[in-house]
Amino acid sequence: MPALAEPPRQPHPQPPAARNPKGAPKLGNPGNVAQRLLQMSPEERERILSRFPPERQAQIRQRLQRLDGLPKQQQDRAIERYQTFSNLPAEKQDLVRRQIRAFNALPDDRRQMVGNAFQRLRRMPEAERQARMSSPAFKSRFSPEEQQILADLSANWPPPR
Amino acid sequence: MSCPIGSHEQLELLQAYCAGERNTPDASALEKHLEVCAACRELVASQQAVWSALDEWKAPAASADFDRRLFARIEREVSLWDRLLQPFRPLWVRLAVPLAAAGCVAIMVGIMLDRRSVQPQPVPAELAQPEQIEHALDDMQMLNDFNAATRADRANAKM
Repeated sequence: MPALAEPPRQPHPQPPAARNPKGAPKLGNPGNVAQRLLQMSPEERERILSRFPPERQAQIRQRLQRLDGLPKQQQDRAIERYQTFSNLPAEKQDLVRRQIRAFNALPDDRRQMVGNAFQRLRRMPEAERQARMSSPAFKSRFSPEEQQILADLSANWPPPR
Repeated sequence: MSCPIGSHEQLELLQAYCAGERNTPDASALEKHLEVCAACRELVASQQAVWSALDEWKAPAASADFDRRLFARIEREVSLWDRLLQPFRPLWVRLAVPLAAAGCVAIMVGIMLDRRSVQPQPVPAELAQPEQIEHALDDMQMLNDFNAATRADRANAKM
């Protein structure tokens, strides 16, 4: 069983304006802007990006390109998934981020096992999920760190509607 | 016994003797000394004269209106500042409670308005900060990758 060192809790860095909205423009949900950028025409997108410093423009373009490469249907689902995520309370967002990073750090074979279990567990009713995760078979199959990943993600990252 | 006048401690014994403490071992020794020491006899005589005078003194009775005159005098000696503020004090008392209540209400309304003002709202893209957009795009990519990883694994593994 591979040992998984849980990464230290590090809140997702927020820019100063988001930490202290007083005295700054009310930025609201920046995810809305990210979604709109994805859906904009190239000309509209460039008009928005041109207001940012050049290095920031490059960072955003790089990120947009990765998502631009998705088929339209997958892109829509990515946006919908992000909307679900951004509606979570901040502490749950941090927890999901942290456990996804922990999942990504698993060896390939363990990631496969945990990923499959996650997709099943997240669709179970709460009582059934708890019963499954309490079973000796489950505990013998997954390390304590993997069990924690599965418990946190299946409880806080809901399945798509 | 040495002469008490020359010693502070012994002098206190002599004063206690004059005040009436005479049933102690020191008192009998002192009486023997007094028989031979004229200076001490003179001191004891003068002290006894004072005590006798005090015993005879009777405090005069307080007059019937003593309390009234005392409080009237205290009232007259109130400071000038207190007298200047005196007319306004009832006004302060009347206004203090409603003013405090109004202040509390104003603070609560301010807090509620402030909380309402920070609720996330859609904003023009021009106002968004680039760092926030980058974080949002990172989250979007992270979720997409995670979804793809768990979907791809689903067909090949057992729970």
